[in-house]
Amino acid sequence: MLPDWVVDPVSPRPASGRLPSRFLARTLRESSQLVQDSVFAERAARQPGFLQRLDARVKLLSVLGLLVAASFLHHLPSLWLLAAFVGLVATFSRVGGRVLFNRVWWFLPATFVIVVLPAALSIFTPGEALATIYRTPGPIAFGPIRLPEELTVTRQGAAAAALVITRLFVGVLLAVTLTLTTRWQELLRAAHTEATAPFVLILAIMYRYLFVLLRITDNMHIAKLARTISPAPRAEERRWVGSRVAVLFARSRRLSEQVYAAMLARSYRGDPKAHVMARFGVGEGAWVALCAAVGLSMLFLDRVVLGALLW
Amino acid sequence: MVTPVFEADRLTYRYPDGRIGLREVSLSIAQGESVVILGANASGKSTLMHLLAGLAFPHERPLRAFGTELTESTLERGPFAQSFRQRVGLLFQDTEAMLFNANVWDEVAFGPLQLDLPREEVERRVQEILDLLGLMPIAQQPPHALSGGERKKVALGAMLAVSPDVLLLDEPTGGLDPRFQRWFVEFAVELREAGKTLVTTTHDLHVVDEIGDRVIVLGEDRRVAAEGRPHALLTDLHLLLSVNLVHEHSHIHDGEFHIHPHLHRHDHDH
Repeated sequence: MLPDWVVDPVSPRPASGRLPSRFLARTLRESSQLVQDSVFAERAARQPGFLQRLDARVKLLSVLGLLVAASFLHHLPSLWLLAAFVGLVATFSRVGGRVLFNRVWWFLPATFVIVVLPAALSIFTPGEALATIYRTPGPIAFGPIRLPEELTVTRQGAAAAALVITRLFVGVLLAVTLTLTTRWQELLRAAHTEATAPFVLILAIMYRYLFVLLRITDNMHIAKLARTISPAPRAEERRWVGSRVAVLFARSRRLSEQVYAAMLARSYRGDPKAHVMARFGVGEGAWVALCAAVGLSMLFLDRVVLGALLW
Repeated sequence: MVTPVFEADRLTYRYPDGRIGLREVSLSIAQGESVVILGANASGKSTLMHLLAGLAFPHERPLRAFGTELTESTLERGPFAQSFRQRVGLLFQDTEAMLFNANVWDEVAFGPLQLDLPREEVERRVQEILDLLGLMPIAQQPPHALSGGERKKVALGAMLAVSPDVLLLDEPTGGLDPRFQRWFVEFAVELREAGKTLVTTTHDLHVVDEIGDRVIVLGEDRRVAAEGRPHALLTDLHLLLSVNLVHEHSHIHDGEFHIHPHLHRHDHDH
């Protein structure tokens, strides 16, 4: 027999007038964004572009080679030329300039504050002053910390900072181009060696279950929304998120035990093995030759031509 | 006398929190037999499968596989551990836990690779399993992009790739559509005819008669409630009612699944 209040028609309660928590909505939107980004990257990696056709291991090694070449370049023009080459290859691989820029730009502000700004200052790189930040008639001390009487941005410091950030930019550009043109599982497989096998396996499992946990998070949020008549106070929402984090932690722990059991049941004995299918055809050969030619040309330009011109 | 594949005499299992998982369960499963473990939810079917697969161990009285007691030490290392894992495969109820690789190809290749098989043999096995189960078009798909039926097939393929003699199938048709259920029944019959030993848990009475030579029924008290031929047990309405496998309004009747209207006449003769 159903209770009367279940049978009786619903009489809607007046709205509380409270606004829904933006904190919760933002957190969940960002988790969904992560899934979307990953799906987008997967789609980009399936495009019939130039780099997408090449073997992942060859791509990984060639990108590592170009990264090493970039670390030996000491002049900005040669680094810019290398960046232009990567941009051109990305274009032929159907990776749009905007996508590339969106993926690369995020590191610039943090790098600027943490690396570039201090490196340009006279306290870290002494030299010819370009701009003065402050000058005092006598030394300033805050307890045991003594500040210099003059703080300037030096020419040498600014040049070193520009070099660091450009090199970093080229590095990130190479890494993003590689990840946008190579499917994650192929990349993992390409990184598999006897020494890296445990790390690669852990990464693969992490990536796989990240999606499972995100889906559970989404489902929990949808279930809550479906039963939310008026928004709860913000403190209550935060408490709910905290308790869901604990639930997810418990679920992920249980899942990890089940995964380990599934691995044991399939003859896993603590020593992961993977099958690496590498191919080296004409395309791969041409790409390696092109990368070697570009890397060596940049080194020649940087060390011989620009070295002589700017000496 | 041929050594049974599995043999237990009144084994008891407790979960880490002290709850009883299985109570005084006795069983003997012979090579080439197809046994169905029937039971309602929370009757200990999956727990029993984990014990048979050597992923958990009884607390009272041993469980023997191929004549050797299954303990943490016998399954930790040594020739028995390796041969046991190769000879016994488990299809997990929750395929989410079983499919931990980046794509279908890697998933099927995982087991053969752990056996140190030559590269060509691994490739051949994966190719043949993918062809057999019709998974070739999705070989490069990640697990989260697969449907429920596809996941189950991939998990089955991953288990078969190790070529086990004994297949432990935990709720293989649970929550899947009738087309997959039919496919599974036909596949299970083919495996049985090929001489594989099958142990299948289910609470789906439709498939029992077709895939099982023998049925072990677990009760809600987590004990063995009955054991026997499928037809004899499936027509024992009192037994099925007592272990919560049928309701008074829906049950197997004269060999046919039979559903009464909710408000039915009580003078109906069972």
